[in-house]
Amino acid sequence: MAKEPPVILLVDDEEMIITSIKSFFAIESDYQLLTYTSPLKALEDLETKIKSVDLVISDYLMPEMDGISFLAQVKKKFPLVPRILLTGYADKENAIKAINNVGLYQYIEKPWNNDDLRLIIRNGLEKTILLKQLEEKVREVEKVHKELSDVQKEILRVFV
Amino acid sequence: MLENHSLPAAVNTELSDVLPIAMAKLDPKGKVLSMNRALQELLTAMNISPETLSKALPQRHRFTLRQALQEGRTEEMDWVHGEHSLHLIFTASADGTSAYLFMIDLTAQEDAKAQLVQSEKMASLGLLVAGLAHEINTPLGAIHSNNDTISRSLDKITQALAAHDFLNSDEKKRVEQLVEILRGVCQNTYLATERLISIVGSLKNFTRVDEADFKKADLHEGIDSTLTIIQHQLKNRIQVEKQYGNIPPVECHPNRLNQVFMNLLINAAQAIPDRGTITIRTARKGDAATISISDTGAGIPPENLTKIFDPGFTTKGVGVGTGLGLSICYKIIEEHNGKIEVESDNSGTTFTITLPVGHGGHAKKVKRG
Repeated sequence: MAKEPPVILLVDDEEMIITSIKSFFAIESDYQLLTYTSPLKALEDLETKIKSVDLVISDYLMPEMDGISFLAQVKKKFPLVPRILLTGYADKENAIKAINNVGLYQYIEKPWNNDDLRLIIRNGLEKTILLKQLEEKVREVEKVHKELSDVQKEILRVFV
Repeated sequence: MLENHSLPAAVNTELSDVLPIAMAKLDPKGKVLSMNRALQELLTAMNISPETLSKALPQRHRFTLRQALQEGRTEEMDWVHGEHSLHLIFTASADGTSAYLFMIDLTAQEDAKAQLVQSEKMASLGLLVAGLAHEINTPLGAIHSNNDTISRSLDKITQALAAHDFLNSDEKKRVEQLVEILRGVCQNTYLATERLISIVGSLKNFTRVDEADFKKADLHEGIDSTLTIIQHQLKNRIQVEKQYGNIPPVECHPNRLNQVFMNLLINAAQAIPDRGTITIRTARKGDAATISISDTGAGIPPENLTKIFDPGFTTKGVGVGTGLGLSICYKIIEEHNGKIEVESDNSGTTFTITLPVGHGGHAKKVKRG
């Protein structure tokens, strides 16, 4: 496997949040950030342009659609990708609802701490990598299993 | 069955005495001839004798009364006397020989209305504050993060400067100075945003719009949030001393209790004329938690001590106090099945709240029941 930088999709209708997070990761990571101020445009690109994504972060309150609906759409396309809600909304009930409905990986409140954000994202990416490795191993096991059963069939055919 | 339409006088008296409406029979000059028990009690409470009742009425009411008596009409009017709000109904017989006065005491309703308006005000203030907190958190988040990024970049610049010799020593010194200045400014911005974050956090904590129900909460957290909010009223004038004991989380309505803390703390601050100390003590007493707030102010005169929890009672003057603060505190603590007591002398005042730790409110029982 070639080591490519992890791809993170970030959606926030506020340009200033995107600039902040992008600048921080530009100096502290090799992550490739795909940023959108429009969740609808992000969904469109997820359907057409974007081949793979390792982690998705979304704001909660946006004029086009809220972050929970957006992440629910993302889940349909990439079920295994960790989803993070980033919000300044003072309402914890929404976060709980989101975690239950959409299966959020994490909930981060604005204003956030950069170290916390980095740690959460790193752990999320690690989860993605582990899941990918697990998937690969499962595929390998299935492949070996298939070979074995082929051999078994061959043996049976020869001797019976 | 009835042999006679007119009942014996004793029965009439008995009937009128059980009536909750204060009533009096007047002579054509407006003098009280007789009255029922409700009126006797009302006049005693208002500090008016039956003889001086008509004199106590405002000039325009007396005029209306005289006219109604002459023309044999019925008139209604409102009368505010001291702390009492009354509705008067005056009715005169057509021949002008007799008249009746009914007085309905609306004081309790008026107070309840005022309390309702006050708590609605607090609720909409809570919504406003929560909305504002959200609006502030987005730009604040950006500033906080940017500042952190700048500070990290400075670290990297310092490292690069140390590792390479691409500047002569004078230039290097100048750059190092600039980096130091930037680092100082960054630290300053960091402290400023941390303070803003703590204020917005306190505002969110204080209003807790998302928590309408009774829940277990840390009272110290509530008191601390409240202190942050009223910090500007205390400034350097008043020192706050916290003597927090070991109290468990209390089943309560955190938002409402914060309102109590705020009212008591602001009262304490206003009671201290110049410089002084507010002491906040908490302790566990069996199944209850106690919170006491003491000030080193002038104290409450003994004659006012019994009245301070009455709605509308204020000594702060028009525009400063609504006279509702302490009555609201009383009501909120009552909702929590707790009690609020006051002790005062000329060296200061102490309010002590006692709250049961578990299943505090009947509001919850009603809701779940």
